[in-house]
Amino acid sequence: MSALDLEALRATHADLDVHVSASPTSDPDSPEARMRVPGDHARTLLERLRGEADAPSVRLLDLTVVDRLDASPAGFEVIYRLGSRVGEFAYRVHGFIQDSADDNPSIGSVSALWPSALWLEREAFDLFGIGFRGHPELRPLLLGADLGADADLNGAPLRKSAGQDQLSSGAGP
Amino acid sequence: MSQTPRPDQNDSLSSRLGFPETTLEIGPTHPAIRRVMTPVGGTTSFIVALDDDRITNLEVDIGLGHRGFEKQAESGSWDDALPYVSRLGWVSGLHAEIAYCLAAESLAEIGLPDRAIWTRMLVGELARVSDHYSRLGAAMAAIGLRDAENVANAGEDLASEALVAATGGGHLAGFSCFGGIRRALPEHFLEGWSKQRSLIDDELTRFGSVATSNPTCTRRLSGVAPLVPEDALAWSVTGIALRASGISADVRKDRPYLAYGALEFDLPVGEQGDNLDRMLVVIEEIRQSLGMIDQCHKILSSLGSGEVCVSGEIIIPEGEAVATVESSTGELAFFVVSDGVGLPRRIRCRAPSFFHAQVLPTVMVGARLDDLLPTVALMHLVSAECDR
Repeated sequence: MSALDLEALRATHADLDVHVSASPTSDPDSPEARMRVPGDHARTLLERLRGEADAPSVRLLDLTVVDRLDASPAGFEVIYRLGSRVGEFAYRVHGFIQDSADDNPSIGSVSALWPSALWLEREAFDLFGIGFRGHPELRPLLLGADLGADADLNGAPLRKSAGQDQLSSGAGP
Repeated sequence: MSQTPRPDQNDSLSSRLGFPETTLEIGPTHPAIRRVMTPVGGTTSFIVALDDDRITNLEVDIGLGHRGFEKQAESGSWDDALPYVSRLGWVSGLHAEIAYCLAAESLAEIGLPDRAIWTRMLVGELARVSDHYSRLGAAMAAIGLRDAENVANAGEDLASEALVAATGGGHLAGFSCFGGIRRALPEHFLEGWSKQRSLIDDELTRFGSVATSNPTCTRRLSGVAPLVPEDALAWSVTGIALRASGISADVRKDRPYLAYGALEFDLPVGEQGDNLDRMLVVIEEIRQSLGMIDQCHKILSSLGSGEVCVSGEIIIPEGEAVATVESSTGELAFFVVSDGVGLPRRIRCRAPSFFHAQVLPTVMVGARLDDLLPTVALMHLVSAECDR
């Protein structure tokens, strides 16, 4: 694939309830395909996008979370940025985890698809309290035991509900 | 009479002596320390298990900074985050600044004045020259080649001098702002560039004679910590380390931002992906960057004085944007989400050093302890970038 064919992406992944749109980037010649998908289907979609297992054509560039607990529908977006080897095309997959009463959000781990997800998922677990099902070693990456257990931070400092005054009371940049 | 069996000579000395395997923790040091005790300072810690001086296991701990950079950035207005952004790297914060501004400008759909575009590229390449020299200096310090270290440090100082002359503040200049740059390059920089450039170039030639053509140096780096292309891609490695592994990928070529599409430059690539290849790629990239600065300088001289930043208030509307740049360390990106209410919903930095720290055990297990710090230097691992 040399260019982005949104129609083809829609048709190929129609069974996964994917919503595909084009997203502008700083380089107008190489747009990104933005794909919204229910969290439970995210891993299947990512596995398909990754390509052949022995010769993956797509790299995982980044993984992060956006807290949308105050929006409607409420939940977390887990965002995967993928790119081809030398950047001819790029995907941005938004896996949406619907808010539930037990506050135990989780999504399937992609660490078996890309080893670089090992740390990225640990970071998201650490800072947002998102679980990654199937991750071989889901333990905190950045926060030590004292910070991770801080009740004011609720164990997830990058959530919007976590206090900001506690974070700024420490050493400056 | 039976003879005591001789120990197997293939066993390590420590196992023949019955000594247990050793575990060492190297670092962390103070965030501002770079080369007093180790060639790499800052808030990264390496927990190393050793059998003799061979590394049998390695854990890299990046969770010691705690500046809370992303949280801080999300708790102020969009431009409040700029000073935090430029502190993401001690030598090339200018690249992070450019990436963050590009992301915000893409949301606000602002077009930049030509002078701002070419000036951002010029100072970005100058920061790269300085950063690359600093990496060479750190690597040479780590292998104990003091004369080569001094030459690299001299190159870094000359490039930093030029950067101070250009921006007024060196690496933490706060130079880019939404819609352009804060001030035009001063006359004395534009007039003095060709002289300064030849001094920077001279150090590169000198470095070649004391390092590249010095067998002591090449033997210490050759074959050390090789990264095969498949692993480099699987672990999302970018920058010098990726190109040294033989993959010709660079954001400036593949997805040109600013006006990189109009610049002429080559991408050096390695073959073995070892420390020697990384050093050779760094050296050639300094040369290429100097050529790019010359081209920007020529264009800027012809543009003359005029507008360097768009005027008027900049409102960041609702939306999402990604901006990626090739920083000195690798592919650095900002993903930003706005609700259009003044406070950012999400500011996420994709820091290349994060991935270089993660892949380190893959290349270092089996290598000698002595080779850890030169590898950290040449892989471009900057602790400050790993902060969240």
